[in-house]
Amino acid sequence: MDTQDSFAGALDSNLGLYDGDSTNLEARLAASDSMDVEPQTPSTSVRIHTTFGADEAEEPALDQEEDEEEDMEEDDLSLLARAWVNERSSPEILEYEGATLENLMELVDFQTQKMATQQATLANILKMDVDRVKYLVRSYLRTRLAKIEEHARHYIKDTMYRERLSQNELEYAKGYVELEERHVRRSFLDQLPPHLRGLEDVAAEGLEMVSKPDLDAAVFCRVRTTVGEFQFEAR
Amino acid sequence: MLGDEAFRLAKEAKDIAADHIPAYNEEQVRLVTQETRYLWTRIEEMIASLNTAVANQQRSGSSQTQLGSSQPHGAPGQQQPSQSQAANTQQSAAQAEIENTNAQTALYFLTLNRNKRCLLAYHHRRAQFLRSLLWTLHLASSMIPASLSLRLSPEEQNYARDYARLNSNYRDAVENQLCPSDSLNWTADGELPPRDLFIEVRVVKDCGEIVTENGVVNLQAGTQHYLHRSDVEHLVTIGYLEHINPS
Repeated sequence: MDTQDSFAGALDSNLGLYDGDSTNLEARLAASDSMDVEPQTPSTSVRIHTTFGADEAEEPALDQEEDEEEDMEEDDLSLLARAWVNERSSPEILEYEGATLENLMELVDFQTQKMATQQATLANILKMDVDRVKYLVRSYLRTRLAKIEEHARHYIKDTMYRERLSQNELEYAKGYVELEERHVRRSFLDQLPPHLRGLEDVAAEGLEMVSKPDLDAAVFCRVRTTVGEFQFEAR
Repeated sequence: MLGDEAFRLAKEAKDIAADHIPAYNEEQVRLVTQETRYLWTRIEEMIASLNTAVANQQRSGSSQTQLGSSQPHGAPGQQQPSQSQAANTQQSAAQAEIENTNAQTALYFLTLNRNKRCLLAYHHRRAQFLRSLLWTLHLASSMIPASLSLRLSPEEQNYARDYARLNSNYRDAVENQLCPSDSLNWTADGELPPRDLFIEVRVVKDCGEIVTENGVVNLQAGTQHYLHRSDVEHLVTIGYLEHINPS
């Protein structure tokens, strides 16, 4: 783990969640040990499970098979990790991953409860795991907050953007706009001539006071499935 | 000179560094708002004078067309052209006057908007500094050191308080929704993912005893401890502890 320096890389390979099956847990623990020996091979990373609960426990025979299938699909953690990378590198705010977050936090809660009954070594590893998931969630939400603050006025005015925010974020954006406005009004705006007190003016040259995300900014992309040749629109 | 005061304010906004903020320049803000108000009254005066000038010109213009229409009837003497020439120069002077006032109004108007922009930028930049400061202080506006809060305007102190409240409302709502029984450690270092569960810390300032999951630890200045990162991280961020050998 220590050899991994890159920000995303550190998360990529060894954020693991364990499911409720404790015999499996030991095996995975061994897997995560071997990971320390070969930290450069993320392919040995711990499997991540998104579902757990009564169904799986009742049908242990199917468990293994389901595991394989689940590996093919995308689990909540990689979904969130991708959403987080995208969020951090895109100029505008993206869709809120509400369901993914809720699923993940449910898992975290489940695992935290389990930690209490485990021996210290195991509990420590589980805690590390939980901490890292929490870091991801926290960083994701904070990135969004920072982006909301940047263009709050635009986001709450535009229906498309409003729908991308969670209820809480929308409240936050509204509160933030109010706060900023109150601050400048009391600081100086109320002392200016009434015609100059607007905060959403559009100048004759099309310059607007409400800042918008720069949708022409360059972004990095990773190609996930081959598209073949692609022609960009001419500018 | 026109716009100088606002320029000074903009320059001051630019001087704000990551760890330094100059004192709130109330005097300068007052000067700029004063200039803005003065320019506005000047603009109103000029527009009024412009309106009368235009009205005058229209009147003299219509009298000249009368003059022109009467011309074919009169004898082609020397007097007639010189008279119309005088009227012409008079009219072009009035025209120039109007253009002058027009240009001046436009200049003042641009200055007004520029002043407003500088004021907004100044306050915006300071608010930005305050926000990032608050995040490092775990969003507790009461934690702002006295040396800094002296440099803030009363409005800015209100702003800091309100911002902290806005954030804690949001965080409570999110935690209620996502993890009612847990905390997300919102203000922990957001830049790097947690790497080690335990960290070695040296105590810089006495913190007294803290309760951790594994018992009570006495954090006396000068001592070194190996502790759960999540137990002491907040003390590291506010500078009571020092993280030794961060990888």
